[in-house]
Amino acid sequence: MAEQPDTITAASGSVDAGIIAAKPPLRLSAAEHRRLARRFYLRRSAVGYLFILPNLIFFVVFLVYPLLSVIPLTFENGGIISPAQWVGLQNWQTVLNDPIFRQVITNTFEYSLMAISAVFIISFGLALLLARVQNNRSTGLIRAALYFPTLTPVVVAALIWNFVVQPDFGILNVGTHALGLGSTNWLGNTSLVLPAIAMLEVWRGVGFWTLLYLAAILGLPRDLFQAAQLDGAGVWQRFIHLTLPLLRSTFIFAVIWATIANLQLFDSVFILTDGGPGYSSGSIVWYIYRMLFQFNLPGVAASASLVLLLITLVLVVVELKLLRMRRR
Amino acid sequence: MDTLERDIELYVNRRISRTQLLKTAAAAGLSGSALLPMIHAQAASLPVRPKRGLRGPAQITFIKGPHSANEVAIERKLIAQFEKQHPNIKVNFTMYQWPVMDATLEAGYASPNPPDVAYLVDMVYPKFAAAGTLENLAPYISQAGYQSEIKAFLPAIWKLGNYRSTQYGIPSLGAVYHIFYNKDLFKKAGISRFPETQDELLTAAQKLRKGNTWAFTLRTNLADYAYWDWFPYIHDVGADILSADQKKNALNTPKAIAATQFLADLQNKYKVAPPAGQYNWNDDIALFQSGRTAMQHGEGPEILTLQSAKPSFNWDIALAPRPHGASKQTVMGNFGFLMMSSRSQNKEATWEFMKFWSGAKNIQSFAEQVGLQLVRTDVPDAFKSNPLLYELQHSLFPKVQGIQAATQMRQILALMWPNIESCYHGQVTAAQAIQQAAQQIDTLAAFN
Repeated sequence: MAEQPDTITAASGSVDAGIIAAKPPLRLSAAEHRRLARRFYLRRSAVGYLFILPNLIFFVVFLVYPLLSVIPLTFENGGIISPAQWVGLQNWQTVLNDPIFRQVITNTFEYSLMAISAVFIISFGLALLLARVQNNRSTGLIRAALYFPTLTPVVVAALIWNFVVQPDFGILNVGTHALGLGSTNWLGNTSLVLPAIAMLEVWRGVGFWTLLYLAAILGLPRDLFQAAQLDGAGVWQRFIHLTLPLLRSTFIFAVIWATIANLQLFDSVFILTDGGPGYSSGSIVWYIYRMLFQFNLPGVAASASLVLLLITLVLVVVELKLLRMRRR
Repeated sequence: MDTLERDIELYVNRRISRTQLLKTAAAAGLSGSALLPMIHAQAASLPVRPKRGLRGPAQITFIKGPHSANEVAIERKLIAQFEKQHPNIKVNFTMYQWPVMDATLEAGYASPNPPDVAYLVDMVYPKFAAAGTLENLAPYISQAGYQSEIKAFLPAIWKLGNYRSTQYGIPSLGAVYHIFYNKDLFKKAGISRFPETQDELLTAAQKLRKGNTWAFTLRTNLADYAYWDWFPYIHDVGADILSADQKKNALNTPKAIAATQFLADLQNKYKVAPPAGQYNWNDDIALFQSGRTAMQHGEGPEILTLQSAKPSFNWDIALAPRPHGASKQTVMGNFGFLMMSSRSQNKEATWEFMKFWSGAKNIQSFAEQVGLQLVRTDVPDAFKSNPLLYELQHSLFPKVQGIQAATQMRQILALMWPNIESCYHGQVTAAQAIQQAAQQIDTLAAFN
């Protein structure tokens, strides 16, 4: 075996030459460190960005850009089929002083409150029931039957609902007749038209939310419930102290999604009532549609749409804060 | 200066950029604005490039709302005849649906390729005309061969296609809103003829209202264009939405208030008509066809529907009865026009198609197939095979008083109608409803 060169003696000629002249440790400057770290990070995440790029392009082109381009529209008249004219805050004044706009905001809130609370209570109850009969053969059939209305396009559902609420032969009125309550002019009564439209949303939405809650309930850890049962907790106590808190994140998601969706009510109103009788069923989006397409006032429509955006953002933030609050 | 002239020539022929030209001008001590006349002079001296011949036929797009379930088949046949006569023009037919007519047309006119020719109704076209999307037809209608055609149109309808002294539309079709009545129910109630006055209407209606049979139905919802059924009663007493100069409302009169209150009373006080909002227009038609309504406000195309449905009773058509204080008895109608886009790339071809489609022979054939009315005076044989449509065309149609062409008419009707609807619901009196409506009309009319 060849002798390893004695680099020390070879280098210096004598053992006393000294201290081992080891290579100095590799040291990078801060800038070089940052450059290398950035390159490493980019290399690692490049593939991820490439995957989300198509959706990002879609997001920017169809959501961000239209949203930003609506803002200058609020300060102009025309701009769609005629040249735009700067009018300053006139459109904002028109919208904020319009009693019809105030009414449609009220209508939209009333409708959302009715629809969201009804759908959630009914679908949560159904989900709890379905969770109990999970191992039954008919569960799949029940789930399909519940979900079927959700699959129906909104326009078709509204057209069907027109027949359901028909005063002479609609199912609802056949039922109220049988109960001795007589027939009801659901869509022609200013007090009942919003509940009638909310019922349509309940009919369509219950299936979806039931399955959502069912999936969440079935995903809850069984051992916690078994432990609680062993400790003597009753059904109600397990529900209040285990089920509800464990489903908090599902509730947060459901409330926010339902709020955003219901504030954008349009299709049912357009098909069933076109905002009538009077303006008692008009919604914010219906108002925006009317201003833009029927009255050719894109500036007013743009201002109204930004107001809707602000309302939605505020509501979502408030809901998040309330739902995320923990009991002390 | 030679350098500047050379650079101007190069710029006009697109050999150098504007920046380079401006640098040369600056070196010669000239500003950009001083260059302009020199550039224009250079451009004018260029030889005119001959227009390239069309490669293949000119393509035009025609958009229209459906007046029949067979609209597409009818249009295809007409277009085939047109293309046979004009082999160098191809017509692409497309439709808008009536409930989304505004949105479809607005999107179409805002797009880079607006429809070359559109069927627009009197209530809608002024807003597009005001926006500059429609072509002024003066150069076309002033052509020598077209003068006899203009004389063939009803003067009042021809004028309706004129907005702010500009002719935008060629009149095509009219829809007349009248009353259908069940002759068997009338006979059973001992009523010998259709009522001609408000008092006769009430007397007849009270005799006809029995069990689940309604005496009278009229539209009440904005979505159903309910104002068409209300207008004859208003027009008969000399009122209208706007004054002649379109600067203020012409609605707030005692007679108009009384006429509106009468219609509301039929529903709420006398209960011979269903409560407002209980039925939509389709329900009204179904109720009449099933023999559950004695008198129903309807329109011309429903005649063909009823004739093909063959209900088990005899029926006829009539004018709306005159309200108290009426000076005339009118029929409501609205009209459709063919209009050219100001951005059409094939205006000559479009004009040829417009002349063809609105010509006597073709429009007569179309109207007879869909049950709409003709706005020409040179078609005396029209509807001879259908006595009811013939009666509608020759007896009722001449009494039409239609809508006023105003930019904000659509908006005015949409804003003011809920007040009338509230009156129909019994929530306010007609005086309150019309006063509120009049204020809204005055506010919007100020923008005319």
